[in-house]
Amino acid sequence: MQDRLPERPSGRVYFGEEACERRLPSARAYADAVRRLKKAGAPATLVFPPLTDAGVEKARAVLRELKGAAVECVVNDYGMLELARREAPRLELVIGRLLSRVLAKNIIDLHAYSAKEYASFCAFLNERRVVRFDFDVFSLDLLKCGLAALPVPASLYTPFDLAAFTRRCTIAGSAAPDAAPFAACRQECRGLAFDVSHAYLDGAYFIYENLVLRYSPEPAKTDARIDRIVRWHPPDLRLGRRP
Amino acid sequence: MGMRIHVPFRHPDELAPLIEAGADSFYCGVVHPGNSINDRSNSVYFNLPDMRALEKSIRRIHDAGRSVAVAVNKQTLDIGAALRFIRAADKLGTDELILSSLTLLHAARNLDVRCRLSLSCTNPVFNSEALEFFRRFRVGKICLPRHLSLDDVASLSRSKGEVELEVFIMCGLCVFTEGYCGMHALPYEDQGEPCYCFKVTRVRGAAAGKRKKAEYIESRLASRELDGCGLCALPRLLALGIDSLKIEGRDEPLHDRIAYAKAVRDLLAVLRAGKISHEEYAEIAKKYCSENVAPCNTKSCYY
Repeated sequence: MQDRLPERPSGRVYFGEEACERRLPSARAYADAVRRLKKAGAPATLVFPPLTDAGVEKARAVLRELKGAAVECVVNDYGMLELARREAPRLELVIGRLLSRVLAKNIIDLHAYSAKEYASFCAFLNERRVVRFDFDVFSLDLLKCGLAALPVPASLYTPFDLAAFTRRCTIAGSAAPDAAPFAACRQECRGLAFDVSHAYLDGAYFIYENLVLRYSPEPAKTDARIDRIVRWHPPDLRLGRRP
Repeated sequence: MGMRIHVPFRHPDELAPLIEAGADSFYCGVVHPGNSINDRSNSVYFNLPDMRALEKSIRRIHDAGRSVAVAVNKQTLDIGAALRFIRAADKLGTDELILSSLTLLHAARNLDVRCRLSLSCTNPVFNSEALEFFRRFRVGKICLPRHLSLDDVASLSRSKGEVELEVFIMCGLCVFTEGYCGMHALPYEDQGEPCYCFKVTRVRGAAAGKRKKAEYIESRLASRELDGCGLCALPRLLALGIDSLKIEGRDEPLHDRIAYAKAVRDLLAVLRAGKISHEEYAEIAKKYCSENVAPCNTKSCYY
């Protein structure tokens, strides 16, 4: 994921913001990214975080600016899924790794329950032009099962998992500790991250933006449904290969 | 009806004192044979023991002119078992069923049940487009996630139409967003520790005041003091026409749930009694909270 573009892209480039609507690039930046990546011959995937109504308005502006471009678009809430389906009919939609955490298992549950209901729900997803699901190692661990029942292929992000998400951003609040929980954000999170340890869980965890990240090396073997690896480092803070 | 105080219970004998304390409506889970179908451990520590207890509770609740919602809100579950439970609970007179799984909502779309379906906060709705999305699944009430500001709630309330909105108040404030958080599903939670017990071990980056920021963050992520309040937001929630105030904590001691319900009831009475400035109300709320619930603490502010 980038909010700045690489000089010479060597493959698909993910552009945007996955977790925080306050860090959403401008509509112009999204459109420029699509244009420049097209020129460089690199496929583009645009990424959106979970959105409030204020964020939906920003996303609506992005969709208008894209002017019907046919690119991939990662969504992380059902509202954005509906908005993109309705207002950008050429976008191919990807269920982002925050939204897929539960929705993928819901689909697997339905597959186990009834072939007819499963087919009906797959048609529902197809109407919404859902072409892919995103995962990381953490969310695959939580699924505790394979992805064979998924109707579309999947991507695996590595090496940083999203372990937890919040809209009560602890970093934003740290600027004014006695302020209300949704204090004005001055993007204090840029260039800042916190290594954290957990009382019961092994592994390397970090507070970054409004997320808890976990470091997970790429597994030697992946599920057959996974046909794409997305290498993601927090863009403005290199945490290193192995923290 | 105005804004309701929505309170959890786990035994029929808890109902009378909770009604006395101001509960307008109730919610509960039921221990399910086999795996849990609601978002809590499958035990009487959180749930009614069986359907007989549910039947008895429904009778008492209806006799008192209140309503009851039953949780079927595990994020992932056996859909066949959940549908059988929904039919059985509906037959007993349950007023509302709280669902989370999108595919359960899909499978339940043609179910012939009398009770209302509502959406759990474990499938979070952050925006009006998502509200519209769930309206098509016959959802009559949405419990909003804990992580919306009052301005966000105001925006949703403008587009809610016939869908009722419920927000959290008192107790159960977690910094992370259920539904998008992997931590609370992990097995260590049964050890009784909060799943957000992180300790900062290192600060990376060149920002000023790093140590203070680290202390602040740790106090939000490793503290047992976080509990949840939101009483100061009552005037705005009332003005927005929010339908229901949810007090979380099926596992909380009864005396705490009584104290929370009373606090909300008494402070709503203050607001409904007549004109009062925000400053005057905030002072009353802080004093009330400190004397009857817990000392006012900004870490616990919901909004």
